[in-house]
This record gives sequence, C-alpha cells and structure tokens, in this order.
Amino acid sequence: MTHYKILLFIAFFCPLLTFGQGKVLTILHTNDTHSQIEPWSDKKMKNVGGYARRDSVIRAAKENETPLLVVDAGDFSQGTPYFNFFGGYAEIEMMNLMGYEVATLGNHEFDNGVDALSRRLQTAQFHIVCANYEFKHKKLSKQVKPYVVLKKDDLKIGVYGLLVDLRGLVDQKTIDSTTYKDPIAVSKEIVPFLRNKKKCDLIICLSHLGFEDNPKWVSDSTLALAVGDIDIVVGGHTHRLLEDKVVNGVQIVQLEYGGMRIGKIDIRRKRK
Amino acid sequence: MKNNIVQVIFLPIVFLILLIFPIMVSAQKDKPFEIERATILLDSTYDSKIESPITQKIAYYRELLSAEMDVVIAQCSETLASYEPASPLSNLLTDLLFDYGDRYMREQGVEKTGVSLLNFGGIRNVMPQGNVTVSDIYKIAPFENRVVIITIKGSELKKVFNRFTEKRNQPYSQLEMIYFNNKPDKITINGKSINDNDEYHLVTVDFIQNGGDAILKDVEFVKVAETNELLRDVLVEEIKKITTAGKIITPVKDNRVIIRPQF
Repeated sequence: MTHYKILLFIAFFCPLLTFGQGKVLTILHTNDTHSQIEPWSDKKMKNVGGYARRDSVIRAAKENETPLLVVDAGDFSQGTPYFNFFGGYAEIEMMNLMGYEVATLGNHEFDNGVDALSRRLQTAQFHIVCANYEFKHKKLSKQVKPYVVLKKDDLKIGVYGLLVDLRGLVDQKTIDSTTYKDPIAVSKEIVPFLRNKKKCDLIICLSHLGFEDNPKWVSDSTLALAVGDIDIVVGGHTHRLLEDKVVNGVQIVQLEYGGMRIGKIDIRRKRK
Repeated sequence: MKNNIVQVIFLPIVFLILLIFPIMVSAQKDKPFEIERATILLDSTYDSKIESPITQKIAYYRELLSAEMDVVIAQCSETLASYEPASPLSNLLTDLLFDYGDRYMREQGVEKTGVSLLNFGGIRNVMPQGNVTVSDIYKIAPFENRVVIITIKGSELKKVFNRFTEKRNQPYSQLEMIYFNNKPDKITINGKSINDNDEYHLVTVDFIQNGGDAILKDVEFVKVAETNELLRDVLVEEIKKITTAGKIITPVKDNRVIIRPQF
C-alpha cells in the first residue's frame, strides 16, 4: 500500500511541477478602454474599471520574475470628457506610466484628425503598430510601424497591428489621407516574415478589426482561418468578451469596453 | 479484496490521468507553447490604498477637468425640460443648432432657407434653473454627435416631416406644423410653404444623417457638409453668446407645433 501512496504523491505533484516551470512570458492586454480614466457604472456594470485598478494589476505582475508585456488593441481614445478637454494626451501619458509596450490604433484614435493624432503619438513611450495602412502624413507614417520584434530573456516576440477599414467610421479627410490594405493579405506576408526571417518564437497580432461570426466579413476569425501561424490575436473594436476562443489553432482574446477588465495570458514553453 | 481493486485498477488510472493532464492541456496544434489565460474584472477589490504615480496623475487631471466642467456659461430663468412634441429645452437646442448651421453655411457663401432637426432620444437631461455649467451641457448632450448640414430638396424635406404624428415626432426649429386628426396638415418654414423643387438646408447631427431613429429613412440628400463640430461644443459656444449678449436663458414658446382638436 505504501508504494501506492508514494506513487499517488508523485502523480499529484508531477503536473504541478510541469505547470510551475517553463513560464516564459506574461501578457497583460486591454482593448477599447475609451478614455475611462476613472471607475464607471452603466446599466450592466457597477463601479468597474479605471486606470488606478488596472495599474495595480500591472504593478503586481511587474513584481513577478516572469517577463511582462503590456499591450492594447486600440480605441484607448474617446468616451469621456477627459478626451474632449485634453485631446487624448492624458490617456497616453498614463499608458506610459502604466508601462504599455505596444498598442495598435483604433478608429477612435483618428477622431481629432491625423495631425492631432501624430502630435500626441509624439508623447507615447510605447510602440504603435499597424501593418495594413499607409499614411500620407509623413510624421505619422514614421511613428506607426507595421510590427516590432521584442526580446524578453531568450524569447523573441513579433507584434504587429491591424486596423479595420475606416470608411464610415472617421471623417472623409482622414480617409483621404490613409490607404487601407487587406488585413489578411498583409498578414500572409508579415507572419511568415516574422517567423522565418526575424526568427520570432511568438507572434502576436494586435487587431482592431473586430470579431464576427459571419465568415464573409474580414474579422479576427477569418484572419485566424487564413493565417494559422499567428499565436495570439489580441482583438478589439466589437466590444465582445472572448476568453476561450481558439480558431484554427489561434488563440483569440477580446475584452468588452471601458477597461472594466484586463486580460492575462501566461505563456509556457512545452516540454520536449 | 476491495483494497485490491483500488490498488490494481483505480490508482493506476488516476496516476495516468494526472500524468497525461498537462499534455492534454497543451495539445494545441504543434506549437511549442501552451497558453493559460485569465480575465480580471477590475472592481473595487483592486483599489489601491497607497498613492502611486498613476493615482497622482489621475488626481491632477480630475482637478483640471472639474475646473473646466464647472465653468458657469449662462443663467437660466427656470428648469427647462424636453418632451414631445415641443418643449422649452428642445426648442432652445434646435434654435441654437439652427443659428450655428445657418451661420456656418453663410460663411461658406451658401444662403438657403433652412431648418434644424434633432431627436428627442438625444436630449438626455434638463437644463437647470440658475447657473448653467459646461457639465450641464455634457449631461444634456452626452453623445459624440457631430453637426452636419444636409442640402435637401423641398419634396424630400416634406417627406421627413409628413411622417411625424402627434405621438411620434422629433424636435426642430424654423418650421411650423399643424396637426389635424393626429397627422400633419400644414407644414411651413417661417410661414412660407415648402417648394418641392427648391433646395433647403437641414441642420442636424451625423447620427440622424446616418439613419439614426430612422428619421431620414429613404430620404435623398443633394449633398452633406460636415462641420466636424460636436453638437455639445456647438451648444456650449452658442449658449456663451447668449450670456455675452447680456441675456439669460428663458423658455421659448412659439407656434412650431399646433395641434387642432380631433373630431
């Protein structure tokens, strides 16, 4: 009987040991936070969100040994008088403080036009990625990169961004100063490039395309079906809570809106 | 005997399951990583009791914002409410919107007879008696609606207003409507009838232009001028003008809606 007990003991702890090891990265992610600097309430949610609470989760994660990556999938602008009065500078200043490393652009980032966007991105201490747009605005075209490659210990992470077709979402002047490219065609080039040329271990797409169930529309699900080599899609735009969505082997996550939640993803290296 | 079954069958199975479990979890394609995720609801349990750079920064912006929001821009003689089919507040807001839109088009060198149109659903609060602050206007017009000026044929304009009933209608300015037996009987702009082939200006917001509340359903536009100004910013500026002119806000009551008794 005794050896069975020992065996059981080992059996219980083996998985725990496996889980405890090989953790190479923690990702904290947000989307569609919409200038909600302070906690807010609506019909459904009471007293949720706010930058201070988000910051306390991020700070706790910073204290862990595992490398941390904080990302946002766009639309951090617009939604409260903070945006209207301070033109989006307050959000960026505090995203700097919270330790965001990469963000993509949402349609609402363009609400005050491309000149204003470029001026305030000048104050961002995090990378802005968007691979499927060309900007006629010279400065903006330099500020927004298609992708970045980050190194966390010996892990190479490729992060690129995608943005929904802006037609109908922003004013005509902005449409005229941008060129939209098909996100799937762009991803089919950039993902193999990041994997093979840049030797990325992990490929993350920050997507402000939205998630739709309809396969006819370009969205995170059609993207995942077409480009299965993406590891994680951190999505946004459609304000939909997606937690356990895996399409074609691609993990797709999205939170609702207003920063009521923050998502946490732990990446572990599999044992060979 | 019972013990034997446990030892021979049950325990090895448990052992195997526990051993295989992590492999099952990570059985996602042939990727070298496994992903474990969690979603954290940021409720009051995450409130930090200590000051941090971020709480200091929030306090700094909050103070600046309240200074901006608490600025008194006008005085109001009494509490103004909004209700169908015409009310002191909806009359005031549509009048102010029209003044802005009409001036905007004149500055562009285009003069046309015009009306303004809003939706009752977009007016979210009352205007208080006494001090009117920027914050009050934000409460009245909280949405991100921008002012647009639509050029429209008289026939199409009539179509919009002819769909109104005593019970289902929207606020407007410069226009008079007489309802008879619940339906529009006579529609005029500043006392003049609308000519089908003339072009008019319809000052409204992009929400309505883009099909909001189906007010402009199947209505054709000649063209649309986007001002890129938020409705509430326009309202704040127009209300400031009332104060600058040395006036206070008083309820506007006029003949824009006349209801003839039903028989």
